[in-house]
Amino acid sequence: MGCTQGSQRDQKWVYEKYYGYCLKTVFRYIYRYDKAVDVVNDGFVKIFRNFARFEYRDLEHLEMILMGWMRMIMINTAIDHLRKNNFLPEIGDLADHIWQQEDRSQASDGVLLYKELVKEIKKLPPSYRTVFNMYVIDGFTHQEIANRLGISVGTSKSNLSKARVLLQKIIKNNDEVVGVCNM
Amino acid sequence: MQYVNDDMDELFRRAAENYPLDTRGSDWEQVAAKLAEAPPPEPVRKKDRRHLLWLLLLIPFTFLCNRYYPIGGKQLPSGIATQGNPGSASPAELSTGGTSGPAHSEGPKEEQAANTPAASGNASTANYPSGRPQELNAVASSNEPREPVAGTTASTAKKQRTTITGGGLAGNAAQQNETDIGNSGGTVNDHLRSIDKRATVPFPLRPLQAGSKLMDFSSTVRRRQEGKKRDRRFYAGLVFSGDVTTIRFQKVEEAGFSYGALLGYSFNSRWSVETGVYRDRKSYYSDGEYVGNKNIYVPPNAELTDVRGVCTMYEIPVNIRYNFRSNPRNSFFATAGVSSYIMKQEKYAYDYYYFLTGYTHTYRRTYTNASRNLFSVIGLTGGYTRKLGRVGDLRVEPYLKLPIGKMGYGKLPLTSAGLHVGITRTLF
Repeated sequence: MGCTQGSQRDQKWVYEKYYGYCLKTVFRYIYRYDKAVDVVNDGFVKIFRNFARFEYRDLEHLEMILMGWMRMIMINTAIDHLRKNNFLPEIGDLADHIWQQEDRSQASDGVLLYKELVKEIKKLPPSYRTVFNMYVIDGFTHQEIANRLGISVGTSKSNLSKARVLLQKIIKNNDEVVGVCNM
Repeated sequence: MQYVNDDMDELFRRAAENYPLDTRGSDWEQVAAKLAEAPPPEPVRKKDRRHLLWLLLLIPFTFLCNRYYPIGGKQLPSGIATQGNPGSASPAELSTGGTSGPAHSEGPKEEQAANTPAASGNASTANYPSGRPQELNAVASSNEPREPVAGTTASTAKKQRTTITGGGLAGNAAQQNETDIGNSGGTVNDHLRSIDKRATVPFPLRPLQAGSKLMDFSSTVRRRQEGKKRDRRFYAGLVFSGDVTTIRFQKVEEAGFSYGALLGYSFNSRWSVETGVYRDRKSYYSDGEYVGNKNIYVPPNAELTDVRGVCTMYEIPVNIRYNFRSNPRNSFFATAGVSSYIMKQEKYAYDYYYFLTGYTHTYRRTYTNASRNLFSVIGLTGGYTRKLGRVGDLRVEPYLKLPIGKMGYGKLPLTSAGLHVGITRTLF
């Protein structure tokens, strides 16, 4: 209610609570960390300017519905950013400081693996990366992907297939990943 | 393979949820500053003026109509001229203000009929019974100041006054008003208020359907729709080409050229239709046996051995274009279509060999406007366009033109090949 009425205090609370979730969503699409932060902030501006349009019916799952709504907006904002740059690939390595501090405990092995997998996703060409993220992780259909990106369904499927081929090669080359797959 | 994909997908989904990204860099001040700024204005859509081109087709139609169905001497009904009664006139006449022919001479009464709001050509005026309009006209055209309805501004009150003569809900209210005016003698203000109450229906709140998708107001879909609209466009350009023409692939003695204007319309990013007008100069040679016109004089005891021709013509092609690969910067395309040759001047040099003397003599003839060869050539081209910034698009297009029939005074099958080079530009 506070966000609908433009209460800065409530908006700030929402921003700080869901900033990490949104950043992790956007960072899968946008290669550079600083650009991803900008996209997230632009996404939140859109969210707060249009909060009145947010509709929900099920109060019990309000947070889940809200997070889904915010995620859609973040994804669309990221796609807009990529389209503005014509899906041109970016070069350069990712800085180490953008990752959380490494934990040396055994339980963190999986987390390290996840980090490597996401890094490999980010190394994909932007068009492959976007389709892979949208289809595999965010659950869009090929028709929805085609409509949002302005491509054909065939191109969407082709990009997904090529992304999978590239990622499978990496998985096969990585023994640790094979071990996790077999678990 | 499917199971491998599913396992891999699940792995990446878990990775996307749990990967260790440092998310401590939130900057609320930046977001607050952006929220404090005014939102960007909606982009102003350019007016779609393509429909104006179709109006050009009306020009010859109006000439024809004017030739065979001249306007003149047509009297308007007397009811218009004498009573200034919009109810008894057709809306079409009212919309012209009765300005045609002698009705113009009626003067002030005609102007009164034309200037009333009821004379806006709206069909609902025909519903007014003949007995009432004078009173309505008096009300509608009066200049007395009106009190604005409570809660409305002066501009809204002006709109309400206009709606009296409009159709629909306000039109029905206007009929009600007419009755009220006649019976109760109420003021117009009262009726404006009653219209206001009836017309002010709040927009119904959109009910949330079960399972409705979360709202997506992204600009991505809007941009895609706008992008689709941008694909439909008219474009035009200037083209110049070098040309070689042969008859049944005999020798080519001299090259020709062509220049002209091109006009095209894109249906989408793939398909377009093109036409144009080119002025061609073709030069060709043929052995005498291929000359198809038997009316060409051949002296006795002689044989037509060679024909050399130089022809100036207008070419009107109609082509369908298909873009194989296109992006905002360049595209590869192919076209196929038919062309018509309108011969303007044909210069022929006939070589005759005289059997008796063994000499060859050349006779020259020039024919003007000798023939029209409609849809007589099949044109095939493949080309490349490249954007040249604000200038337009550079277009390079090799072509091949194959004859369907025989052309020109000499009835020769002309096969041409060449290279179009031109600049095209989007019109709108």
